[in-house]
Amino acid sequence: MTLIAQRPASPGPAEPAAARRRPRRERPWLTAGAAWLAVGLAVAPILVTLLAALTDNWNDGPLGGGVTLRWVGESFAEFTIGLSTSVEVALYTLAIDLVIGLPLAWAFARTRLPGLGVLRWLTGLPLAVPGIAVGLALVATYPQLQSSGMLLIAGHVVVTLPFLTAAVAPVLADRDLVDLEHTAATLGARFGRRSLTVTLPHIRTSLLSAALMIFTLSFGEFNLTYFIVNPAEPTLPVSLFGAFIYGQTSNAAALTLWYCVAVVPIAVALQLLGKLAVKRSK
Amino acid sequence: MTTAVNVEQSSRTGGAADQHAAVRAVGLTRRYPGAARPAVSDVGFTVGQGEVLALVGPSGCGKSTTLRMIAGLEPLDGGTLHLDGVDATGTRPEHRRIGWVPQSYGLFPHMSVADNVGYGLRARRVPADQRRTAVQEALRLARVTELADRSPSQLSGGQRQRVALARALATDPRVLLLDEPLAALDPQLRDELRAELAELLRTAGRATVLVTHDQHEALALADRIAILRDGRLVQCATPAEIWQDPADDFVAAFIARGNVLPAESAGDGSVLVADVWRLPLRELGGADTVRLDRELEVVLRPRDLVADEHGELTLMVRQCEYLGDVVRVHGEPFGGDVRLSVELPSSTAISDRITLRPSPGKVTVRNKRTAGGNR
Repeated sequence: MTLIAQRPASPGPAEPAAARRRPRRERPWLTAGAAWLAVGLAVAPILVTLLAALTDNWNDGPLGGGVTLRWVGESFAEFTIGLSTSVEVALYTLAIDLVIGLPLAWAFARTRLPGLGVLRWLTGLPLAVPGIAVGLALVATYPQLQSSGMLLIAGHVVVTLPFLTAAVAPVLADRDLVDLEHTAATLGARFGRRSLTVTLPHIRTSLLSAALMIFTLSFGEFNLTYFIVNPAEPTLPVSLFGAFIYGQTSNAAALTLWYCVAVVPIAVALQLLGKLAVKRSK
Repeated sequence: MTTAVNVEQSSRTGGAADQHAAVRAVGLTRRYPGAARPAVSDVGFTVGQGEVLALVGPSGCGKSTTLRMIAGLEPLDGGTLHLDGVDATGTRPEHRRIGWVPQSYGLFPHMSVADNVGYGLRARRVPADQRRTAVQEALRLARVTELADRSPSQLSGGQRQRVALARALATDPRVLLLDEPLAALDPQLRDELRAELAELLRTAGRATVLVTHDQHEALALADRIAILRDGRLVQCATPAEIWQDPADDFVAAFIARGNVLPAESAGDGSVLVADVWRLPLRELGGADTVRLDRELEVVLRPRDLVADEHGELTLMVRQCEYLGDVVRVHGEPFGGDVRLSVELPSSTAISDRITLRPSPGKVTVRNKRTAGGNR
């Protein structure tokens, strides 16, 4: 009996399993390690590209023939031609998207017009169809527009428009915004004033992020662009492709570096807008 | 006293005195696409200058739709609307000169309080110096002058309400339209601000139409109350008239938590109420004007009955709501299928059998209202 009394008490069957479980030990190094691995995987190609751009003769391996800025300098002219075409196309695309997309988003959000469901489906369709198919269809249907660059802009509008309507239509449908617009109307504000002083400030963040997204997508678009671009005025991604396929690896790497320099401001702007949107939603 | 005739007059024709009412609504009708029945059907009323009218009723009765029709935010499928004697039936909201305060108060979040209050004046291109004066005056009237530079996000619920009222008043509106003005507030704050709002509306002296589902709010704020049910106007009268003489059982239950019960003359100087309760006519209000050869009904409110061991009515208590010094009891009389609400001493408990008698003169008898009277 004494022996039994001296035994350490064992956990009774009534004690829940969760209470017996030891607290989980945190392993912050595991999370940090995974994060750094992901960063490494993303940064490694950029570092290799940098290395290739600074290597005199890549065929001899990294830094073969020594370090040089020759490729960076020589690719700059090609970069500026591609950059100006890409920026021009992206700006036209954005402008046309805004002109078409804002009324369309408004119609999606505020009206029940017949056929609007079909229109919404058609607007989003290019997202599901491969860019190559869209490009081939466009160039087969409107070959006469290719040399003017209008076909390229039309193609970019088709594939970027859904991003504008998808970003803006839900905000336009917001009941709070409708209430604010109604209040403005009862205070004597007509449609134009209401749009500028109430609607636009309310959708500003969504509109800006959609605009940046459209600009970035158009700027970097390749699949569709390759088939409908005027070969005499290639966009930057098409130039890059040409450089990798037909030119020196180091030249292509240098062009890639310039491309990265061009898109960094856009990436930073997107990041800042995201933070602003989060701040406004709090 | 409100009768079917009064509602009909207001709804259909409008008297000569109504011609220059701040609001004259005749036969307002609104049917939403695909809906089985109209949201608002043939609703009519007038609001005099400086008068406060409350549109009340349960959820979905059409009161907010009616208010939005006055504001021009909802099209009319039938009827006419005059504001200050001017036909505004087809006028766009921006041209109606109304002061609209939505349930959420609708303050523009990216503008300061002063800019919010001045918004309507800028929209109407009022010169800057006059605008400044009008904004200051509206802020002073709503007692929010010290908040002029704040953002709406820095305001409490009560402050937002006052700023929204200041903004509505700044444009010198023909009529103020308030959609559930206290619904967005905490219950404690609501009681406090109800009195404040009543005072502000009195000071402003504007014709006002407000929507509420809270009968206390309607009784406290309004000069007259229009009660809607299923999109139709049931009764439009002063709070006292509705309290004393509800059009039907629905109004009695909604406003006073009372009952309108069918009754018939027993032929011996008493009436038989709901087939179970015999009441001497001499104890009933209105007994001297009622015609006993026609159908009767009896109106009773929760405080019209008192517990008395010699009372004629035995009530089985089914439910109790504690109200402090009294409890509101819901129960059924033996032998009857009606449900009564009565306020009794707080010692009353569920399943108690209580015998009741009417307080002398409180319970009223009247001839049964026609179908038109119960619109």
